[in-house]
Amino acid sequence: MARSTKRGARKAMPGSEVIEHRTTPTSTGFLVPSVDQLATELTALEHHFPPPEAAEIAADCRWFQDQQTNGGLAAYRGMNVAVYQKAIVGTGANSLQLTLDLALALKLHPQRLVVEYIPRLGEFLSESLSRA
Amino acid sequence: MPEIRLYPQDDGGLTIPSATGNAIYLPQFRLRAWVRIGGEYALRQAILDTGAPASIFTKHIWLPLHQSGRIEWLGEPPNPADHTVLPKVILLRGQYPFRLGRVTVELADLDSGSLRPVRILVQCVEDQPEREPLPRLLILGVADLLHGRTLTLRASADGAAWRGTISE
Repeated sequence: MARSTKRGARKAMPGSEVIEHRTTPTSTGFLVPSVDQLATELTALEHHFPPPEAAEIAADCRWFQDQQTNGGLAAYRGMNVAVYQKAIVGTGANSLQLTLDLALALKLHPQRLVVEYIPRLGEFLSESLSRA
Repeated sequence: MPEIRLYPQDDGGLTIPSATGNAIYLPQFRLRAWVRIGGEYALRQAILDTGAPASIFTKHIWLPLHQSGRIEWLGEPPNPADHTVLPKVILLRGQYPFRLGRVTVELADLDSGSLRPVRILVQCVEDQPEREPLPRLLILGVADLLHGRTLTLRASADGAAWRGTISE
């Protein structure tokens, strides 16, 4: 079951205190972590885990590629998906938040996860085509 | 000869009605490759754009690379200064400020190794938080990346099957 991440949650680094996200006001009134804060936390988190195995990452990329080629990711259009051990383990609108949440939850080096964006139908069409 | 596989795929194009009543389908082919950036462990999927002179990374891609010192900035490094002084690139349906940098990119094959890492020019787009953020996007331009290499694309007679490689 893929887990969907929520923005604005507090995250605990392994073996340290709870980290407060620096937040940015949005038009909806919710406070979400800034992209700078998320990137800082992700970079810091990498030092808490051993390096991931290249062969394991490649195996998950192959699985993702097969799913993409065979149309198995259509249900995830417009979202980022995270793959681990040949399964989608999370989805989210914010790829950095998704990676951070799952790396903490699964106790993984963040770069062990394969996180990719699945475009909506026609999302990357050129402007001239989309006006047709 | 080292070679990596590309993944040509129709992402879903447009179906347009014609005067004869038969709909015409315009495919939206994308040429994808897997890459490692800046010596990272992670493999990322990129779109190879043969019409783009330089590569383009959106902020969710380049910011963690910057924070781990993997980008060589060719002008001002990122700062909170006014983005209106930056040059802009047209991307999807908007104009976005960008900074130029260089990163090391290694084209990888998921089954058989990779090509030697090369330094490429990247437009690092400031798409957050000032405006509607772009989706996580990693576009590889042909400059630098294809120097000394051969890009091969083969399509079947009916156009249904494509195969692509980059070799050196």
